[in-house]
Amino acid sequence: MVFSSNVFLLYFMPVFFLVYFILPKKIRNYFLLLASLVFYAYGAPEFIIHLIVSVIANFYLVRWMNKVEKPGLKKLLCGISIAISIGLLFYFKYGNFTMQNINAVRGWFHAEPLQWVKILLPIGISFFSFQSVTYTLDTYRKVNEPMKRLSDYMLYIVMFPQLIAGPIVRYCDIADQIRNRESLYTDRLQGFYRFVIGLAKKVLIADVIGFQVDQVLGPSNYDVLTSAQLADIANKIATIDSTTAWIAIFAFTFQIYFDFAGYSDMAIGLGRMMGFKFPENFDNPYVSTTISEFWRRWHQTFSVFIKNYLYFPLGGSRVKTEGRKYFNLWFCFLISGLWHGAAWNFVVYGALQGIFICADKLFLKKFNERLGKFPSVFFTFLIIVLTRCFFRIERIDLSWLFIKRLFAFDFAPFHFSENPHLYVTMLVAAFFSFFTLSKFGIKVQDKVYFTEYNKRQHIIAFVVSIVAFVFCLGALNASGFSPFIYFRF
Amino acid sequence: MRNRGYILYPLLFGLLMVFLFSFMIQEHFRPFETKALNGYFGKVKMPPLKWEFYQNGYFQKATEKYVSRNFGFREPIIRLYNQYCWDFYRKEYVSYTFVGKENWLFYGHNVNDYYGTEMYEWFADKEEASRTFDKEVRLLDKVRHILQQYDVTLLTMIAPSKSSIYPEYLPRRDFDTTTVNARSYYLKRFAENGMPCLDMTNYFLQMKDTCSFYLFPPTGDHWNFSTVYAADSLFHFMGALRDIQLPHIEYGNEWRTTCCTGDDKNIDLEPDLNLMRLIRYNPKFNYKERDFEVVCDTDCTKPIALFVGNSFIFRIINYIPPRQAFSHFDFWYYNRIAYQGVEELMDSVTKIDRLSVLLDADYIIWSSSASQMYRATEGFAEAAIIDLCIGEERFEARLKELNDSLYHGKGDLKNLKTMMQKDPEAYFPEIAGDGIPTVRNPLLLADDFWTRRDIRRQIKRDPKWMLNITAQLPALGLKLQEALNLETDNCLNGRQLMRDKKIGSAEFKEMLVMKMIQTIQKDPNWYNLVKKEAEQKGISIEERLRDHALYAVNTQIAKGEVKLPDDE
Repeated sequence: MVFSSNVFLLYFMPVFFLVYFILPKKIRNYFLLLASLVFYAYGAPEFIIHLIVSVIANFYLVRWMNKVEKPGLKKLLCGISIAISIGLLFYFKYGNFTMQNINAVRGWFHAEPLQWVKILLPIGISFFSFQSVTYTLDTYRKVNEPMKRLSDYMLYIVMFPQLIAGPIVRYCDIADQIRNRESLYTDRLQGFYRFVIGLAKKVLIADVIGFQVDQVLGPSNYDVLTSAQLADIANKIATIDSTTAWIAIFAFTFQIYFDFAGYSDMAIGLGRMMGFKFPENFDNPYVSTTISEFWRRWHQTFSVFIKNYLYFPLGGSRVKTEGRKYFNLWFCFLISGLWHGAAWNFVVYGALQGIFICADKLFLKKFNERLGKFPSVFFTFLIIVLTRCFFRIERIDLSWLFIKRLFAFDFAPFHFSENPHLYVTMLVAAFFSFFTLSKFGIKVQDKVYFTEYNKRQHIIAFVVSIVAFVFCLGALNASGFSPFIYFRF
Repeated sequence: MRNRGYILYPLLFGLLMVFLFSFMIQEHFRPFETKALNGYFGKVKMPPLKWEFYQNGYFQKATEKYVSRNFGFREPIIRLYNQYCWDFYRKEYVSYTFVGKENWLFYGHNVNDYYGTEMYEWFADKEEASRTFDKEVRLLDKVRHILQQYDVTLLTMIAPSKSSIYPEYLPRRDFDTTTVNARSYYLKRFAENGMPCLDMTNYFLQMKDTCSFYLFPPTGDHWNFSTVYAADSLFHFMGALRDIQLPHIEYGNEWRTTCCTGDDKNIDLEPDLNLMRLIRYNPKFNYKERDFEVVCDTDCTKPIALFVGNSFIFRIINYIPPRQAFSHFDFWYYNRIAYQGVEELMDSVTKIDRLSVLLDADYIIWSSSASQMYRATEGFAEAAIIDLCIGEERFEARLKELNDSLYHGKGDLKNLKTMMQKDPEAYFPEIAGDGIPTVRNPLLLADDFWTRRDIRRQIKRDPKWMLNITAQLPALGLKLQEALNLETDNCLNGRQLMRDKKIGSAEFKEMLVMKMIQTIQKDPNWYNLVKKEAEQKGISIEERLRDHALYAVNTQIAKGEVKLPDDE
């Protein structure tokens, strides 16, 4: 189920919250667990059994691991637990990609391709696999005690607000909240306001922009296209003028931010309504002055995960040689690129990000400091925009062709009147993306997101949220329906 | 404890829950009446919850679609969002309605036609388009010549295209000059064949600079009061073709501004935008209406006419009731729905005796509009030539023969039949080629065919006779054509005529009520209201339907829109 669907907004959410708040506190977690399983099963019925079985297996493995004293056995059990989570992720997410590449290599040697039934990707698998890993490792490292009850552990993994697309909540951050939390009326209200902010980001900004991006670059997932459709997209890209190309890639840069940040806001808001405090996932990434800063602000819970569970185990920066340090950095970004999708364009995207991060450490950061705040924000944003070509266009040759068209200087006249809705929405998106460059912007953001409202502010926020909710419903039903970009990651 | 016990927060949260549930409550109990959305949305049913559907995701997708179409307060919410998009961006979500300059609305196919891209909606290339148009003109011309032999005049009329008359208000686009424009192509070929054709676009372009008001409403795709001028020209053109005097129009002096009010029948594109309020226009776009009267003097003849065309014909009917200009009027809407006679009885064109209607007419007016000419003659020319030259028996025999020879008797007959209907020249060599076919439907050669045709024409020319027959239809349980054939038999066999049967006002009123019931059943909004009321009152839908129909007919009678026959 998708948060921005009618079924969720008009049926699931009202019924869930009504029942949830009527029930005694003791059994709310059970109801939340049940609702989360229904939520997942509704959207991915064929994978619910996989999810439940892997969660149960992991729970008992970790409990066993926690009980044993022998370090060797402990390590082995930890390894098995991680292998289950990562193995499932690898099988479902990278099985097709691996076989495609094996067959491509076999093709070079004129060997028959291996037979392979294409695997469907369970939605949210990356996110719940990562959460399982954090549970295993945090328990192994004795950061937290393991859950006593299976239902609590299951709830941590499958809780519907963050099940599908994060934020990736570390076990140590939420363990206490699962057992003991309080949901005040003010939390419920402010959670709803946050949810509506996210919904508006998704429906009123990301979807409006995304529709136009799709018109130019085709649908975001090329796997579903026929060869004729792909040829059509290739032809479109080859003949695109520079004006349209720049508009499209800027538009996509805003779309992906508002789409994903919108989802995170909704998840955080829903969590808050129930008394959970999920970690923030975005901190105005486009105001970054360096690429390193960008990755500290973009998809923060994922960056933290990579840092804690990949970069540090590799040795982090405490390694013998400088070369190894840069390799570790670059490798982490390569993996994070691949995490976004099983395709070579994502590998290139990750590798490029890694190169820019290393360049940051070597010279780019100093260069940016000399440029000054605003030019370095612009420069960093430009790098982000350009690397997004490899993110959005799922074929490297077409991504490269598209970049060539960006710099072909074949500019067509720009007519605002041709699509005012897109351009105004892009301006709004740009405004909110760079809003916090000013102190006033930061102040407003803190007020809206992070402070408790007084009575007057509550009344205003309530009315605004209701109106925005109605507007989002209108937009959703007047213009069609669109899933979240990050679902497939 | 922070904020605990304070009344505002529980109150706001309570209101929030009420708000979230209000959509569900409205959907299921409809406590508030909302104005329905305009336009065609297609029916969406709640999918059955079957394991297979759930597993393959069909259930989820269909449920989302169902909820999207049916959730409570959907109509005002969509109108609100549409209004926002319109006010801020001049954006609309209607398929094939384009917003031009100064808020002028255009039908998308017309815009494409004007800029030269419409051809690609229907044909792969220029050659295919030209080949199709050539075939259509050839067939239409053959039909015209054959009908001429039987005293039936076929003429063509091309309704004006708003895009061609007022291109200055069109949205900016590039022209594609490499395509074939259907209207221009047809006009050229009609002229080469000597086919009588009234091109209203040309006529309207001439009128545009001299007329004191806009010939099209900014919010509609069809002609407004200019319909009356067009009809006047059509009547003159028809009269000249047969050298007879047809009814003409006399104009009064009083002018009324009718533009863009809620009940303006000319604003046919705007309602589909589903906005909250009407679009505001510059008063210079106001158009006007004036008094007029259709006059038929002593030397004048009201002909029997068959119109084959699109919604532009409805506009003529709206302004000029057919009985004022024609003794009998048939209208084949898109060559699919047949409105028979002055009382507009409806049926499918495939279910009526087309041959009789074709040959009973004095005039057949084949009409189209610029953007719809790409759809050729909507199958009219093909069907007409089969009716006139081949006949049902020979058609079926050929169908069987082809099925046997091509598919050993096991072919898809429906498919094969459609192929033959689409390209009769390919399957019946006797009607192929450039010459006028000499072969005829055997029915035309029957001894009494023409006698019967003359009697039917006589009946159709007599409005009272037709009215009497029409009024007896519900009681007899007959369709109009069946009743006409019965009356023809009565004439031939010296039996008592339906014409002579006295129709009382009660019988006539009953006929009107039956007709009104049909009208209600075809109007989904009205019919749903009837169903809901029947449920509330605990009576059958039929009873409530009759109540509504009776009320509507009584209102028509009270307003003088319908006159009952005298009972003395």
